Amino acid sequence: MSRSRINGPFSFRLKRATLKKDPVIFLVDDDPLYLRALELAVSSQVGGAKIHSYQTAASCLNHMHLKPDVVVLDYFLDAVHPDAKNGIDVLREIRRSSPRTKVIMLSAQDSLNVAIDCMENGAYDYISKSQSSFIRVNNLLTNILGDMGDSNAFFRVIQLILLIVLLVIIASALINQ
Amino acid sequence: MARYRHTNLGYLKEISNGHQEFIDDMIRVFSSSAPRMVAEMEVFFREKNWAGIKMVAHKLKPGIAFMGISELKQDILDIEESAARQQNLDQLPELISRLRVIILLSIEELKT
Repeated sequence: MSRSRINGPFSFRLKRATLKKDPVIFLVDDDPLYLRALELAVSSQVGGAKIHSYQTAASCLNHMHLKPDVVVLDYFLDAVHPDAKNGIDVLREIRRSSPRTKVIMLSAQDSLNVAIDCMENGAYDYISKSQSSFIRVNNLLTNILGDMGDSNAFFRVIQLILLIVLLVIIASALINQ
Repeated sequence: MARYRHTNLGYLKEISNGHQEFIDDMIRVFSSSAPRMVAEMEVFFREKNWAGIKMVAHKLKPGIAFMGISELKQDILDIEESAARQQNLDQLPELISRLRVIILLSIEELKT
């Protein structure tokens, strides 16, 4: 499998050949510092990705028509402003409105209850914010987008086979005439 | 005498492979957001809004880690824990005051 290296911040060796092309990725965190770091980490990892960053749940949900492939979502979105929607509310709304979108939940609190809460509500995975969290987010993105890329490649092969079969049938029919 | 007394950008350099533009950007975001968060915490303390203090402390943790302000790592945990459990609340004024001073000193240091 061909592998390549993207230079820049957060560069890792990764499988680029099979990643979904031009994926749409939403990053949602009300901590501007963490959001900026996440933006740079993800943009270094996934070439060609359309990355949209939001500091509030409302702005993320208002842009769901962009059909994100992946949403990386903070669990404590209502941390400072309790009247704001929390991450689980947003997760539920995303799962309801866009079931194909994969949601990776993030939290600075490394708690089993938080992890269970996320997974029970349909998160793809849960990551606690730590020194390795950017690497883990990027690994998960590579897996998700790789699966989507493989799936697209699989359907392209099926389409090609069907086209060949159709051409053979037409050619046979013409020969038999 | 070491150039940096309060901050250590080693972690930021490590995760960014020394990408200076990224490091400068993170410092800029920290410098603009951290003092605002500390001010918010001080308001919450005056209002005895312990949940608010806990949540702001929680949100300050990544910034303190990114900037390598090791002398605040325990303080920010103590503030969060105190406010969450509503215990040892008498230590909060000193901890919050220290947080404000060290964050301002760190920002000054990061400007150089």
